[in-house]
Formats: sequence, C-alpha cells, structure tokens
Amino acid sequence: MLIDGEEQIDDKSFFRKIPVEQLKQEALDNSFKKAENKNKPKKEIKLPKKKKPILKIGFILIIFGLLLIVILKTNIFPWMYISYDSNFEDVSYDNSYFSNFISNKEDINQTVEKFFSSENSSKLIGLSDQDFFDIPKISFFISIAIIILGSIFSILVIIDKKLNFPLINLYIFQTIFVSFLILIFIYFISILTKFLGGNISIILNSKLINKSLNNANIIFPIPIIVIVILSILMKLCFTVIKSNFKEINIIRNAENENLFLSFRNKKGGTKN
Amino acid sequence: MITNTSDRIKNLLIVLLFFTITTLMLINILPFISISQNEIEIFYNYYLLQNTGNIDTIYYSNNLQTLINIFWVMILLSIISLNGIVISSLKKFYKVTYFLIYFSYPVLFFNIYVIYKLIVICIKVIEDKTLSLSYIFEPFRYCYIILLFLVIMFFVSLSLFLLLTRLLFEYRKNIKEKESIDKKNLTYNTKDLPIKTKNFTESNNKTILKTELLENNINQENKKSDIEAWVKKQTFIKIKNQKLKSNLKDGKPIEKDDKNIGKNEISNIEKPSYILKEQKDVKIKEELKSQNLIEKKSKDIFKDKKTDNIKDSSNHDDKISFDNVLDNVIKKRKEPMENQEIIDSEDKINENKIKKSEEIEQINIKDQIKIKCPKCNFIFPIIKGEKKVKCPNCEKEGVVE
Repeated sequence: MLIDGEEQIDDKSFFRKIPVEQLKQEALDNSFKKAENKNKPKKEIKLPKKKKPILKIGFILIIFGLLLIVILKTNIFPWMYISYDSNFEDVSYDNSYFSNFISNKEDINQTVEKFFSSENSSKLIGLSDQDFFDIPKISFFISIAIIILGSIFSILVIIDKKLNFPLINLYIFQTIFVSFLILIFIYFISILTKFLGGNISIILNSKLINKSLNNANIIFPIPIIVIVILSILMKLCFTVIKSNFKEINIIRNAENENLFLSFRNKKGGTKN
Repeated sequence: MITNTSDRIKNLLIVLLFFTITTLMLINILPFISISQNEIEIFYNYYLLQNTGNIDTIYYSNNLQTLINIFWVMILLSIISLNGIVISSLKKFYKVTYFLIYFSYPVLFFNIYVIYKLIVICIKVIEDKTLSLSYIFEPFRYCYIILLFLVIMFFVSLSLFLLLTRLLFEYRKNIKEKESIDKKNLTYNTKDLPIKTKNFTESNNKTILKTELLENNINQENKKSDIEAWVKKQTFIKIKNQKLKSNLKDGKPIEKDDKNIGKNEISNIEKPSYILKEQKDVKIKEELKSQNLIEKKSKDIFKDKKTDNIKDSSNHDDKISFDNVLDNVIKKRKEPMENQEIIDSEDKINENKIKKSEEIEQINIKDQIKIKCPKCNFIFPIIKGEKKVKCPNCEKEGVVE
C-alpha cells in the first residue's frame, strides 16, 4: 500500500525479521542449555581389572628352571644313549650315560671312551669329552639363572602389592626382562645344538663311525628335551612381548579416551 | 597411523627373529661341506670343520664363524628394536624409543652381506675339486635351505626397512604438528572456533544482556514514537486551525465540529501530553479505537471510490486519527528495524569487547581439553565447554560428544 511520501513496507518481511531472529536466539539459548544438561562429563572408562601377568611368568620361570635342574641332575633321562656291537664278540652293548659320566670314568666303557676322545670323536661328530664336561655345567648354571630371574619376578609382584607400581611400567619392565631371557635361551639352545649337530653327523657319517663302533646308534636325549623346553619358553616369551604391546596400547587408548574427547560429525554420521 | 605401522613392525621383527634364530641353528646343525675319502663321503658341519685341523677347511669355518657372529648381532639389534617398539606404545620418551627402534635398520644390510658371503662360499666350494657342498640328494644341497631362509629374511628385513622409514616420516610429521600446536597454543583464541562464547555462563550473560537491551530500546523507541506522533498531530491541528481562520477571513461558513476540534487541539498543545502519562494512555486508547474504525471505514472507502471525497470532507476526526495512526504504525514498523540495527551495532560492540577481552586473556592450560580428531587422529586443545569444533589439521567439523 502506497502512502503519500512514504516507502512501501513489506508486511511479511517486517513480521518475520524481528520476532524470528529473537526466537532464533531464544531457541539457540535453549538448545545450548539442553546440550549443557545432556552433555555432562562422561563417566571415566573403567580399565578392566586384570591379574598382573608378571606373577604368572615368575612362577612359570621357576617351574621350568626346576624342571631343567631335575632333568639335568637326576637320572630320569640319560645324557647319552649308545648301542653298538662288539668288534670281537657277537655281543651288542646298550649303555645310557647320565649327567656326570665323564667325571666318573669307572662308568664309561673303554671303547666309548676311545670314541669320544678329543683325537677321534671331534673329527667324526664334532663333540669331544670336554663338551660333555662343560655343557652340562653351563646348562645347570643357566637353569639356576632362570630360577633366580623367576624369583625376582615373583618378589617384584610381592613388592608391587605394597608399593602398587603403575601397570604400564610393570609391562615395560617385563618386556625388557623377557627379551633378556630370550637372549639367554638363544645362547642356551646354540650350545645344545652342538649335540643335535652331532646326532645328524652320526647319521650321515655312519659309514666312517662303523669302523670304530659297529652298528652304532648314538642319541643325546637330554639336549633334545632341553631344546624343546627352551623353544616352548621362547615362544612364551614372544607371546608375552606381543600381549604386553597389546595391553599397553589398550591402557593408553583407554587413557586417551578419558583424556581426549573425540567428536562426531555434525550430521551424526560415521566417524570418518 | 603410527600405531598401525608400529604394530606391523613389531610383527615383522618377531618373524625376523624367528628366521634369524632358525638360520643360526641350521648353520650350526646342518652339514655344509663334504669331502670324499677312500670312496666314503664325510659330511662336515660347522663344529666338525672347526675340529678337523685341515688347512682347506679353516677358511670355510672362519667364514661360517663370521656369519654366526653377524646373526648374533642381527638378533641383538632386532630384540633391542622390539623393546623400543613396545616402549614406543607408551607415547613417551619419543627420542629414546625411536632411537631404539632404528637399531633394526642395519639388519637389511647385514642380511645382504650374509647372503653375499654365503653365495661366495658356495661358489668357492663348487670350484674346489676336493670339496663339495653336502647334499640330501644330488641336486638339492643343505646350504640351499639356509639360502632359502636368508632370502625370506631379506624380504622381511626389506619390508621392515620400508616400514621404519615410513615411521620416521610419520614421527617427523607428528613432531612438526606438535610444534605448530604449541605455537598456536600461545596465541590460541576462541576466534578460530565457530562458537563465540567462552563459557556457558558467559553465553547466558550475553543473552540476558541482549534481551535487556532489546527491551530498553523498544520502550525508548515506543516513547519516542508516541511523542513524535503527538507532535505530528499537533502540527496537523495547527494547519487545520489556520485553514479554518483563513476560511473565516474569506467568509465561508464554519462547521460546529471544526470549531470544537480546533479548540480542543489548541488546548492540548498548551498542555504537552508527553509529560502526562495518563493523557498518553488515553491517546493510545483513542488511537487504537480509531485504528479499528479506520480499518472498517477504509474497507468501505475502497469499495466506493466515488463516495470517498464526500466522506473525507464530512469526517475530519476520522481523517485526522487515520493519518496519525498511519504515521504511528509506519513509524512503529520502521522503528524496530532501526532499533534492530542499533541493537546489532551494540551487539557488535559488545562482541568486539568480549573478543578483545578474550584475546587479552590467554586461555589457561587448566581450561583446555585435548581433543582427538576421529578422521586424522590429530590431537589439539580446545576450551572447556566448547561444543562445535573444527580440526586444524584436516578441517573436519564436528560436535564434542
């Protein structure tokens, strides 16, 4: 509607402009209030309470160490088993030698002693009598070391109950300790592989060995058993490292979820 | 991204360790060289080669010894880097952990060297007439097993090498981002964020302020409009009176209504109505009444245009009130627009003030929350209470949950 000297006024725009903007502001304020009430700080994500794995490993190490000592020192398994035929008589000999057969020379047959002398056997199977003397000693000390390490782990757990160390620190300590253990195990296995290599060379060089020992069958049971036990322990150590890595990541992520809030899309779609 | 790569590196390191340990054991166990003596083939493994005392075999035993030493070094390096990877998941001591991780970097070179050395040994043995590579059956040699393991190790270490370089780049990128965030933190303002208010309480206060201003302005402008309308009315009456006087001078007859109106209006001029509230209220009531009347009459006017002039001349009161009310209505309609502009300008001034105060007040660290972008995993600080957020890295917008 035109009025003298006055501009045309759009009624609709007038009625929209003021109240709509006011209403918008009020609506915004109300929405913010609601959002404030709704988005109250979330409850902290409770970390799953787990039994500290350090305890288990400590006991496992002690058990395996004791088992190794039992295998090495007692006469359950022979260190060496030989079966051969005599050159002069039609008699076959089956002898099994235990841990300290080198030091007790009364137990050793003369032919066997000759066979394992440094001049002869080292050129046939790569093992000398010195190896039979040294390696059982070293393996005994290593098994004691494993027990000590296991006991250190378990003592740590007892101390942890009083001092309550952070779980992540324990995991890292465990991984470093376990990696040190892996090195020890590799060294232990590499020593014992001498016997395994000897076993293989006995099979391959049977023609040459038969000259000194007729139809000789030589097996080293203890090194094979110990290698199997150590390989199991090694596998366990690797799994421990893997699980530690996972656990630390889980803890870190849980901490991050508590510390760092994530934000979703405006439209409420997927995260990415 | 870093966690994925570090996870891959960890898996590769474990695989690499497995292969290095097995190859080390195989070198110790498997017979490497065979010598034929009196039509009898004698197989020599590493320990046997050491004990033979033959000059020809010493070279091979020494070479195998160096290979075994290299394997030990490789095992040590990979174990150290494995520890580094586990410690890196802490996301602390970055420099130390990354230094530990890169211990496995030279494993690839060692591996290449071992392969080269083994091939050289094999060629030398083949060239030697007295010696031969020990075999299971004629074409298949024992050392080929070791070579196969070494080739697998090479591929594993190559992928490890590539992943480590990738990790290095990611680490550098992260450091740069961190530095940029630290720089930003020093001059971090709420300007960058879509939300204007710093806190909910502030926003609340702001809205209250706005509403107060609006109310005040509306009241003031209403008063103004009333006064102006009254002044206009008075001027209109004056003009009318002048017309009446001029008519009298000309000798035209005076209508009763015209006389009364003039008297009333003049009396009103002497007593200014904007001072007296009661009078104002009465006026407003009159205006409202007249508005209703006008609305009714205006409809009739538009129906019969011919009768307009007659009616206009006959109803002076209605005409006056109609014009006044129209003026009022138009002004009232204009005024809010002006008011809004004024309010907006005031708001802008207030906002600027708030922004300036916010700029001056650098945000305390306590008021900040670190937030992680779900798209690029970029962590950046925001102020407590912020809802709408924009990632400075990938510019992803979102709402804080």
